[in-house]
Amino acid sequence: MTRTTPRWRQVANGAGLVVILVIAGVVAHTTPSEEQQEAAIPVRGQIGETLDGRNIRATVDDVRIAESVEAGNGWAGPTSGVWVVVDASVEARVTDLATLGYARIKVGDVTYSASTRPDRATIAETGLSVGIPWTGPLMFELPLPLVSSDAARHAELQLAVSNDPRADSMLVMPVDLYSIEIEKVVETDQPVWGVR
Amino acid sequence: MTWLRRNWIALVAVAVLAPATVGITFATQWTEYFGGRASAPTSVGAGDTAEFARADWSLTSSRRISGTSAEGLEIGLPAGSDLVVVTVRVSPEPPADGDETPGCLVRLEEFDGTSVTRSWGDATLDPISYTAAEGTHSYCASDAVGPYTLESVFVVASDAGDELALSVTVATELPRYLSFRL
Repeated sequence: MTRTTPRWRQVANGAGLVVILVIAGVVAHTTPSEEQQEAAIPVRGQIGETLDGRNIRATVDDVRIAESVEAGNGWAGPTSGVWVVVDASVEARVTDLATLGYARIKVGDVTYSASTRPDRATIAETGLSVGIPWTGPLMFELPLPLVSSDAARHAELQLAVSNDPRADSMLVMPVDLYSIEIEKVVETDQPVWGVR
Repeated sequence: MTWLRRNWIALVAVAVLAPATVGITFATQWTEYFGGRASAPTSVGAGDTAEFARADWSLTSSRRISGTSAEGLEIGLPAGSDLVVVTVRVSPEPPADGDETPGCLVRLEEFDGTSVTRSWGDATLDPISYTAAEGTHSYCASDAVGPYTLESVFVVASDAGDELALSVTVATELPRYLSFRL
C-alpha cells in the first residue's frame, strides 16, 4: 500500500526548508567574529570628562606636546621626536588587582604606548587603588612628522587596566594633536596618590 | 496528529535530552570556574573560631583610622582614604615532618547586602608610615610552629561603608575561604 504525500505538504516542506536556510544564513553572517567577541569594550568621552569602565575610572585634564620633558624625579629624556604629555587621574573601581597597564595613543593606524623610560615619574603601569586615584603624567614619544600630519587631528587616547584589555573596558578619548602648540620643554610633577 | 502520534517517543526524547545536554555542559563549565576561585565563604562571627586549612582562626580586633585624624595624618594616608587594621589569631596544628602550615591571601571586602562591591589588598607595601604592633605578623607565617597574631592593614577609600569583611584564602582549600565580618 503506498500513500501519496499531498501537494500542499510538499509545498509547505519546501517553504519550511527555505525559511530555515534563510535564518541560518542571517545567523552565520551576523555572528561576531572571534576578534569582535574578544575586542575591548570602548567607553568614549572627552578630555576633562570623568570616564567609568568596569574597573577603571579616569579623568584626563590636559594634553601637551614638547621637544623635551623635565620629570618630577629629575629625569630628562632626549628624543628625536616629540613628547606628548598627558596629565591624568586614574583609579580602580572594583578591585585593586589592577594596573594602568594599557595607556596608548593611536594616530591613524599606528599606536604608541606610554613610555616607561621616566620610571616612577609617570603613572604608566602604576598599581591602581580602589577609590583612591593616582594623579600624574603619562609620556608618549612620537615622531614629529606624525603630530604634524592630518591623522593627528583625529588621534585617540586609550586607557585600560592590564596590558591586555580584551573583553574589558577601554576608555577612549579623541585628541587633536595637530592643534596643540609644541613647547620647548614641559615640566611635570611627581605622581600623587590621593583624592584631589 | 498522526505524525505526532507516530513520533511521540522521539519527540519526548528530544525535549528531554536537548535541555539536559545544555544544562550539563553549562554546569560543568561553572563548576570548574567556581571551583578554582574563592567562591564558597565560611562566615565567622566575632568571638567565634573557625577550623580551616589545618589551623584555628579567630578575629581578635579591628579598627578604622580616618585619614583626616591626627593618627591618620601621622601615618601619611593619602587624601580621601582611611586605614583599616584587622588582627586575627591563628593557631596552626603541629606540622607533620617536613610539612609547613599553609600560606594565605588576605583581602578586605566591602559588601552591599550579600554581594561584594569592592575589595582591597593588604597595604603592607604601600607608601605609608604605619608601624605594625609588636609581635604580630603581616602575612600568614608558613613556618610558624605555634599560635601567632596576623595583623593586616588596608588603605580604603573613605567613602567605603561599614559592611566590611576580611577574607582569608588558602590555595589548597579553594573554593572555600573564611570571611570575618568586622
